[in-house]
Amino acid sequence: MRHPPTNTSMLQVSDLSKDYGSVEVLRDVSFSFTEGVSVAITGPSGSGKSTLLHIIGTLEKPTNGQVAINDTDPFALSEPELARYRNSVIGFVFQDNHLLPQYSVLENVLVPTFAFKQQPDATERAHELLNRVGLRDRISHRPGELSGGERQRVAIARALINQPNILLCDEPTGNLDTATTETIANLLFELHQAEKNILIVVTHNLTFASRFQQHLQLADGTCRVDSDS
Amino acid sequence: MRRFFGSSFKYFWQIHLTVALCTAVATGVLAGALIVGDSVRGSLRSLTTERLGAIQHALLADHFFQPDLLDRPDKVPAVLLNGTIVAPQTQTRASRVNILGVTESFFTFWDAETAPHLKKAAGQPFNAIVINEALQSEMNVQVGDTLLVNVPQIADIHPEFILGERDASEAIQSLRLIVSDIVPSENVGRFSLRAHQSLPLNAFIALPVLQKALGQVGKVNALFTKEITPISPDELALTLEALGLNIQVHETHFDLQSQEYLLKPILSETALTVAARHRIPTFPTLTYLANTISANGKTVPYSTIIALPTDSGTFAELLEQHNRGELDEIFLNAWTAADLGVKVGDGINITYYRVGVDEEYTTETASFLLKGILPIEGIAADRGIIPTFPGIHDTADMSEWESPFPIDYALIRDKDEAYWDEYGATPKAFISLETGKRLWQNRFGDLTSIRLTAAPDRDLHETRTLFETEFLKEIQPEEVGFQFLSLQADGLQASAGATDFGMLFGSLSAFIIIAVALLVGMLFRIGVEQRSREIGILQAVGYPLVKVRRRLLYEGGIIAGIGSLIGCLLAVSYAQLMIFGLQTWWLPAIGTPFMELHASPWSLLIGVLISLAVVMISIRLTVHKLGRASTVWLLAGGTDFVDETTTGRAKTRKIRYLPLLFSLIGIGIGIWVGHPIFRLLCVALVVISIGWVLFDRWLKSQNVPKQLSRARFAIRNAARQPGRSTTCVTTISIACCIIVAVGANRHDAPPKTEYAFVAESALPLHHSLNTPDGRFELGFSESASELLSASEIIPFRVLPGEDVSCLNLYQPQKPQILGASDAMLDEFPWRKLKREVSKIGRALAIGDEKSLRWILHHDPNEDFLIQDEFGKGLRLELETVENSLFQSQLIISESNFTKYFPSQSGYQFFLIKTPPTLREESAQILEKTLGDYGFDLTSAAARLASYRAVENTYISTFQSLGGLGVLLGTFGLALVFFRNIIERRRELATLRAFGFQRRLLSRMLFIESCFLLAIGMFIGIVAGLASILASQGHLPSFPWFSLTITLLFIFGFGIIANAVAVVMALRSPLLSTLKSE
Repeated sequence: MRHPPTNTSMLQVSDLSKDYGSVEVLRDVSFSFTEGVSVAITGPSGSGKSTLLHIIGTLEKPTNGQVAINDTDPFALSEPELARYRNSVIGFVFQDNHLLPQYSVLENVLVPTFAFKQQPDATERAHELLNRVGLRDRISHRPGELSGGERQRVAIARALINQPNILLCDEPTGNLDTATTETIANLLFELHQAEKNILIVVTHNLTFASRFQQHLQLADGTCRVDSDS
Repeated sequence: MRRFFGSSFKYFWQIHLTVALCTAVATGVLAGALIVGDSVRGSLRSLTTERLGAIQHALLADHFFQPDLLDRPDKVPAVLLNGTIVAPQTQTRASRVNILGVTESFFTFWDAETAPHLKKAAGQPFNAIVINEALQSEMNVQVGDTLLVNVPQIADIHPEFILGERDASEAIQSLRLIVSDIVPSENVGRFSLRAHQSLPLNAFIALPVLQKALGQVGKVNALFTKEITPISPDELALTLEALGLNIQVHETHFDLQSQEYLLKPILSETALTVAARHRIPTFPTLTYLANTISANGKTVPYSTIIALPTDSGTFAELLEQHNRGELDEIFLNAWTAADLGVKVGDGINITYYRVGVDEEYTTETASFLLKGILPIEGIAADRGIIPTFPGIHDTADMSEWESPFPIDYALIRDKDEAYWDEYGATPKAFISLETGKRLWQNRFGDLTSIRLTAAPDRDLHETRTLFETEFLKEIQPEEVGFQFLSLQADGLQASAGATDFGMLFGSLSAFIIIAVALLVGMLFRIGVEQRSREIGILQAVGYPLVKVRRRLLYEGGIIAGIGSLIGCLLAVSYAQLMIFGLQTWWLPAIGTPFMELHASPWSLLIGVLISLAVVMISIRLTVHKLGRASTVWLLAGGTDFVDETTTGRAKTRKIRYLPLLFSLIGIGIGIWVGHPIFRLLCVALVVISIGWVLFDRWLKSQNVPKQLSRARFAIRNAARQPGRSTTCVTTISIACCIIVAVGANRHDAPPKTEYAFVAESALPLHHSLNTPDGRFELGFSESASELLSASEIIPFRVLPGEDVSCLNLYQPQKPQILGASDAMLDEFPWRKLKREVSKIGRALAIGDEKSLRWILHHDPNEDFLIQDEFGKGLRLELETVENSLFQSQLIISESNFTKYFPSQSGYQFFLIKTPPTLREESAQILEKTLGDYGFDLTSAAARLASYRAVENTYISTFQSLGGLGVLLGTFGLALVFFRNIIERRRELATLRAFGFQRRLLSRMLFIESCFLLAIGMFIGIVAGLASILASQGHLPSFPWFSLTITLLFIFGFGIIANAVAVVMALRSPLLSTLKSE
């Protein structure tokens, strides 16, 4: 399911700009990340963190510049191709988790597998992921019956169900207390280690951000990449 | 607070507008339904005032009388007859035409009317006739064309008495007339005594012309007045002539006799009572005609026999001289005894005619012992005691007799002629009055003459004056065929209608109102849910819950109020649409497109109040639920008012089982009441409740299916807002249940009956159509008679009255009564009528269940009261039939008919069984040969179909309105769905983020909405079928086709509405909703 790794960097962003009319949110942003790297995006409110994440996740189009994932320009794809591409390459975890309240935990995890023809082992993998996030005994529960941390763990499992190359997390611990934040952070890193994908997390939490291999700071529409190594 | 209101209205204008529009729909539908009722009543009232003009009251009689009888200056005389008209040029024929003999003053009842040309134009060979447009259109004639008018000949003697005239040539009077004018079928052109919405066929003839043709110069059978004061029986100055009586004064006595030959029982009884009261000696006699008097092998033909009292009087004195003997003894006059060669003690046989079954003459025989021989003198020579036989008395020879009964002229000998020459009709034989009555009594009377002599202390003249005065005082006009009608008042009362269309449409619209109430509740809830944060904040800053609720309630009240006002306008349009429907699509329900819009402010007010109440209750229930959610939940934007963090499962479980509790109560009531309708309702309620519970449980279940698929995934979305989904499913299931349950009663298949035709004749038939002789008398050729011999024709006597079927919109007050002949009484269920009811003034009757219950508004388990011919009450003990050919009448046995309505003659209603291959030919022969009688055949199946058409039309109306309710339900479903999608934009965006294409999302949403629609319809259909099964014990011959089409249409509409909702909701960009900053 995962796109085959190449010798080149997997995610390359070049001269990326995004404006909403007269408001310029991102200006000439460039960076590239390779497989297995974890990246924290930080910056003040309104600095364009979520916009950058959404552009990487192909949810929004840039005004200028290019995004290449595995040498593919996703914005050059047709709508159905882009949908398939997003389904298989990218995984999302949102601040508000956006779990579907009508579905059980297992169903929520399986949601992305229904976008296209379901893999025969999807359910097995969902069980495995839920096991890994510590929710094996909650599979038939509805989101309304879970705590905030549990919901976010379901969201993480859902994001990983299709083994994406890139896992994008938008303030995944924004609504959580410190202890739960720690738990979720640990889980994210643990799974990142296991899955070997690119983990990009938008966060205000600098302690959490400090645990990432790379740190992308946004300010006034521009970015600076700091490397841990 | 006012500012809050204003801002709230502006901000949430879309949802408020929808709530207001829904309220407008509820008001419009309910008030509109009531206006339909107003319009039917108003239109019937208009028709009544139009057909009667200024006529207020009428005096009608079953016989002709002098108009002077009533002393009112403004009285307008008329002759009203039922007849047939033939147009020789076009060979067209119209039966059941109102033939009206009138003067110009009759037309003054209609102000605007200028009297048409009733007078014979100069140079015209025939008198004039004026017809209305309805008749013109039926006959296809123009002014100047000739018409042949057939009316019943007026005879003094009843046609069914032995001396009555029944020959077709004598029973029908034909007039050749020229059409001088054609009046519109309105005002006088619509005149009719019969309260019915259909157009009458009217023909006006100058009164003197018609009187002359009928031999009733100066006499009428109807008087009309426009005075408000009703005509009182006391106002009638009755005369002996008006009663058809005459007094023959002789030197020592006077004889009271009738022009009808027999004295009516009521008249003879009154005469004897009055005479007894004033000590006037009486001598009642009964004279009959013997065909033969035989003894010793010798026969005397055609002799008068007189039956006299044996207890007192002259004949008693004679008897005393001959030793009073037994009843069956006879005296002969000397001439007859000599002719027969008999002596006292010999046996004497007499034969005589009686009118038997099918009005055939049958010859009866009676045996006597000769008690004495009387000389032809005294009472034995008194011809004055015998009333006049028309056609017999005034002939010079017996061979010239023109009698209505068959005479074998070969039997008349010279000596008989010699006797006739010398003694005329002088009786040849004498028997006791008791014996005479036993042999010859019939429904027309049992005396032919009452001889009265001077009372003690009075001379004959004084006695006669005393008798006449007292006798006339004693007679009640109603007892002798006079009717006093308050036409205008009765007509207006009848125009209240047999069917309350307001209630009918109101009931039929009930589902729409329920649907609207559910919809409004749901919409208002959505509106309130949208504002959950606002409510949470208000509570957080210290607003008490009561105040928040009140605020929302006020808002709802204002919105609903505005909606109701809009609904008033909608009501008028809705009523107009319904009236248009009744004039076109549902025309069979009213028969004639006569309706106009009549709107009463009361109807609007009632509509507004009820719909406001329903909507406000719905809003109140929604607002009340606010208290169940915690402030924290509301602040977090929680919508489903049930706080997920605080919901007690026990409480939910309790609510979940409420429908089951209601169902059990329903079943209990159903079993207790036992009525099919209750069973139907209870079973429907139970199945829908079970469906509701199961669906609700499924929505809230946590079982994860082993096999997940996209479709199942889509369907699971219905559980997102279980309350909304359940409401939508329940609304749709109720609607579908009603449509199926009602639709199952629709009869699409052509009705089946063993009879080929139903026939009615304008003029009564007095001969049997089942015997060669009868058919010969009626003018059938030999070949036609042979053809008809393969048919069985069952005749019924008819008492004119109103149609009590659903074809008549007026409230019938005097139903048409049929007298079923013996041929009919041998079959089920008619044989019930054979059962004798011992009490006087009671009779068994059969009526159609639906006609009794819904048109006459009478409980079939209770006696139905009508008046007999003498103005006395007749209680009809009812038996019911269903879906019969007799939905327009009540039926009693012929014996009871002739007992209580003796003056009605002949047969005017027929059921005809004919082999299928001969149907067309038989129908043609019958209509052609009996054309002068106005014999009209209708296919029995078509007659049944016309009744069914009304029923089917009501069902169609119900289904249409039910369908409208379903459309509202599906509209609500679409609206709720739209709202759901808007609320779920983030979820949908998430799915997009995970690679779901827009098309896939649309498909999933569409599957979800169709699932709700399908589940709702499925539960409804199952509930409908189960309820029919429970109420009828089986599934009737189901109108699968029409029902399937209706349900498919509903499903199709639902799908389209849902598709539109999905497309509209997904039009705006979704992904932007995922941003957290």
